[in-house]
Amino acid sequence: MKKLGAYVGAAAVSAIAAAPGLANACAMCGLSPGDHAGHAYNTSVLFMLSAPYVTFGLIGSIVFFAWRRSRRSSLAESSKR
Amino acid sequence: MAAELAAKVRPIGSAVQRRNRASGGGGEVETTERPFISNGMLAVLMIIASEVMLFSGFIGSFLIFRLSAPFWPPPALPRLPIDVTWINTGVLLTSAVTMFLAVRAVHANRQRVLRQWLVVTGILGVTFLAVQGSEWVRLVAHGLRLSSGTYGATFYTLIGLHGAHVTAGVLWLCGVVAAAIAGRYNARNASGVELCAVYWYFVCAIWPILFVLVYLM
Repeated sequence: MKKLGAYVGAAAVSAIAAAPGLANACAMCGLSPGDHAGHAYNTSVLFMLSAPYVTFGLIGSIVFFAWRRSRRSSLAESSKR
Repeated sequence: MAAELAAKVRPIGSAVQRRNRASGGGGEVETTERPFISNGMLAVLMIIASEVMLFSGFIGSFLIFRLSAPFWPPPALPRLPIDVTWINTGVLLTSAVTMFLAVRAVHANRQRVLRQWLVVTGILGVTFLAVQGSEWVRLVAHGLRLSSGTYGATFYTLIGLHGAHVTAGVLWLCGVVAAAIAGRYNARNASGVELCAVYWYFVCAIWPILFVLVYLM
């Protein structure tokens, strides 16, 4: 079984080395030179990739600051007594 | 039974606060639950998170069309009115400030000031929508329609999506104004105003991004 895996792996590596064009699986590789679509897709993908992190980062910060404010006020209240 | 169950269920992230209440001869310690963030606020934040993702999808598709187009806007189609929209942006951002003043007023228990700022915010929101509506009517008359290629389609979907959110915000604000006139809000019970304000801030914060992308870029 290990031998079979090694054969398959070696075949895959040699196929890619022989014809690297086959490994071009991205959406923009077939574009003609001077086409801006590659840049457009890259920018869009980066923007959408950052969106969840920014969103949940912001909401997480709001929740964190609310928690910190609540803790401070409860500590101040207990120290008054 | 229901009361016991309610006492056992603790809201997410609740903080335990102890109060010492003198009753009769001795001191009685009472434990009350106070969540640091209300369930309503958590729900509004979750709604805003989903709305941000929705806008991100639309903006992402807009970026693909905009950046891959050799000419933008296409030569045969009308240009967007930038000057009026600058003023309209100012109107919407001012409404965020007036909303903030309304929240401050409710925390200070100033009922008349609260009502005043809420009404001003509502008027500014309606003004923004009216200017947007008149802009759309003029653009349609000049030949920019939803079917006018990717330029018209992305403009109307993105700006229309935001307009729908502002409309929802204005309707919510009308409800809050009605409740404020009825005297339902005070410094201890300000969540109705606060929730509406958070949604309104979101609506105001997303607009400059759309303005820069759609009108100025």
